[in-house]
Amino acid sequence: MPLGTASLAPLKAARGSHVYNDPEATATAKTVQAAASVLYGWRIDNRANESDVWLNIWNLAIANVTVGTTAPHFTWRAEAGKIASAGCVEGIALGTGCVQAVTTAGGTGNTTNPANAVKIRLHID
Amino acid sequence: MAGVSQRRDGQGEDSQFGWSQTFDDDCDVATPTDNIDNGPTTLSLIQVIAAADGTGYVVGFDHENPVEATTPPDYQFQVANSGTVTIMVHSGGKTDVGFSFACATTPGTAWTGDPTTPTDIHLITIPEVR
Repeated sequence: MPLGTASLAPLKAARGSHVYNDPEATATAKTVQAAASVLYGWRIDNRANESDVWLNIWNLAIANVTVGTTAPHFTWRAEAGKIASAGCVEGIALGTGCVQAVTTAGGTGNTTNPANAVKIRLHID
Repeated sequence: MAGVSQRRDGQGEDSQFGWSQTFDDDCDVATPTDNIDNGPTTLSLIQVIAAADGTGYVVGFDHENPVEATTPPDYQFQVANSGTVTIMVHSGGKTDVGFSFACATTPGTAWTGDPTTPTDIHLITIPEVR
């Protein structure tokens, strides 16, 4: 390499650099990304509630999600009055898309909104 | 190492101090599922390594004896063929009753079905001193 030149690699975005925030996640399904996604981290702020809540994620287009009927592909519980957060090194592949909703029970059949606002943050590509 | 219990497939004595490790080299849907801790515990790390045709779902429960296709999972995620998923829990992840897990091919409350080939799971939990 000639003196006085430098090779700079292009900057590369970190994994999970796209941050999705929903300050009031409910049992109504919302699209996070309408394309193949990889989930690297999640934070569920349930400090406003006296009951546990469950973050549900579907690897589907929102048109194919019926909360209470369609089995979620990802579920994570946040305890009453607490924040639950975790990260995934490799990422969790969602090959179709990413749709989220927060309910008051785990599993498939619940459609109840949390009593108070639940804030969620997803780190996703 | 003092205070650390090494268990296989959920078997072994409870750890009274520190953290516990559980290895399962053939996670399946058998009922009752692998029961790690009877009593309050906190999830710390979950690592899953799936075989070439091992696509499936890890389902976790704050429950000592979850029933296949009946007990709603409290924690659930998918692992693809030959995939590895390592989840580090930063906060939360506490269970009140105990922690059990299974691997299934169908997610949600109707979780059922064995992954075709063995799926390895390594968990680290922090049992509450009791």
